[in-house]
Amino acid sequence: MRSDLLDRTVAGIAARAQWFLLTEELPTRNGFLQAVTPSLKLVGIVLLVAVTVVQRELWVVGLLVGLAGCLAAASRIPARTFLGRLSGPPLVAAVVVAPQAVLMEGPRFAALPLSVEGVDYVVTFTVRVAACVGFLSLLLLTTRFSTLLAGFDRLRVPRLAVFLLAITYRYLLVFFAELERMVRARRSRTLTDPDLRRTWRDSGNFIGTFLLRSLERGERVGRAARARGGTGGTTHRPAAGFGRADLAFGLVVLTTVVGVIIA
Amino acid sequence: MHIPDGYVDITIAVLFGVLSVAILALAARRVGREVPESRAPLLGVVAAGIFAAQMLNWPIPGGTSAHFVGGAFAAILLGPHLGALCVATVVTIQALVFGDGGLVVLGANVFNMAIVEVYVGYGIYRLLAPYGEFRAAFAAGWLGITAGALTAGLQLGFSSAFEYQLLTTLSIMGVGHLVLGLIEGGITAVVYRYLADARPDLRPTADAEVSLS
Repeated sequence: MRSDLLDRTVAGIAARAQWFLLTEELPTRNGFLQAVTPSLKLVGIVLLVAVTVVQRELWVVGLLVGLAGCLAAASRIPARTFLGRLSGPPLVAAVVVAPQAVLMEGPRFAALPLSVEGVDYVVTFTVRVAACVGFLSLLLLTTRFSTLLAGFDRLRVPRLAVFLLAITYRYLLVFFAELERMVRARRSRTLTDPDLRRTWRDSGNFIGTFLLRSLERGERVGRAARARGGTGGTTHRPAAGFGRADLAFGLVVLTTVVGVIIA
Repeated sequence: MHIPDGYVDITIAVLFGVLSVAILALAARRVGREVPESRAPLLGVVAAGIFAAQMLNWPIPGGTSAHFVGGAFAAILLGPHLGALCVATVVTIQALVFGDGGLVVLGANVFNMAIVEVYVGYGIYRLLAPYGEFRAAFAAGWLGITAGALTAGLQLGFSSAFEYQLLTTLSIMGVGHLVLGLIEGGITAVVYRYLADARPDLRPTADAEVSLS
């Protein structure tokens, strides 16, 4: 296998693992959204995304991006991390809808083939996607996944679904580490660049071996869980009552939803 | 194929969210008889394995690379209902941990990748398996992902938030994935060939679901 591909795989795994650890570290900071009850935060963020999705006015979605930025600052999320999250998907969105700037009917910008309506649509669409990504990032960066699962529990999401998510999450790092070990081992055994056909066959064997290991590990984990007296599901801490942060967040969401509807 | 929030109308997102919940609930009920809750660790761990397997870069001509998606493969390995639950778990983790795809549109993404891709892939595999399992696995991976992309094209095409016409979104998503899907089909087939050689008992056509016993 060509070494650049292995490098890309290792880099991809490392990036995922780094993000994984970041989403464990940032929620422990003493910030505004970190103090909000997970179930309330989940509902509030979903509402904020929902009102953003239906917006067609540039100034409104611009204000919503501003709100996401203010909440990020109040939650002590590093600006670089937040802006890093905010840059990728909107950029892709801009590229996807860019042709509409030319295709849409209406008055044109002087001698340019761009229509006023088209440009407005492209900018609004891009900013709307940025606002949605911003709100989703707030949820990811201020909530540990285990507390999010506790929130699901509180919202009466079926137990099997919560348990599946919990166990998958628990084993992600284990498999990232295992895959990285396997890739490095394979790289150390590879002296020359094989042709495409050989690379595909080797990769098939490689992923096949990896998936078999996953399956066998799953069977072992299942047997061990039963030996301990059943899977039992995850035990989440009982939810505490609502606090001042919950009240403040609730007010922010309510004000935004009402404000956007009136606008 | 992960659609972010902002592309799809809220009504369409809610509609597909409800559909996904209903179909996954039925799938859970169907597997409930064969796979009680005590088997859930197996499913969760395999989901984590499939997630990690998606990280490997596969070379494609032209110097670039592609990733394994694994919807049809999960269906072949685990059966359609378990496969759907497994891939739905992967898609949800991708959204709620890594931010791949949106929050409000999560149900639509689950529908495309964990329901359409898995069930269509499995149906094609079962249909073509008598003519050659390797070829059937290839077609399952190829057409499964194309079907998922077409559903995404439908969701985008019917959304007023996304200005392109239905015919345009269907053409771009359908034709694009009909070509890209060849890679998914190829990966599905080579991984299937390895597993069929190493653990023939795991093939759906093999005697009973030994792996799950």
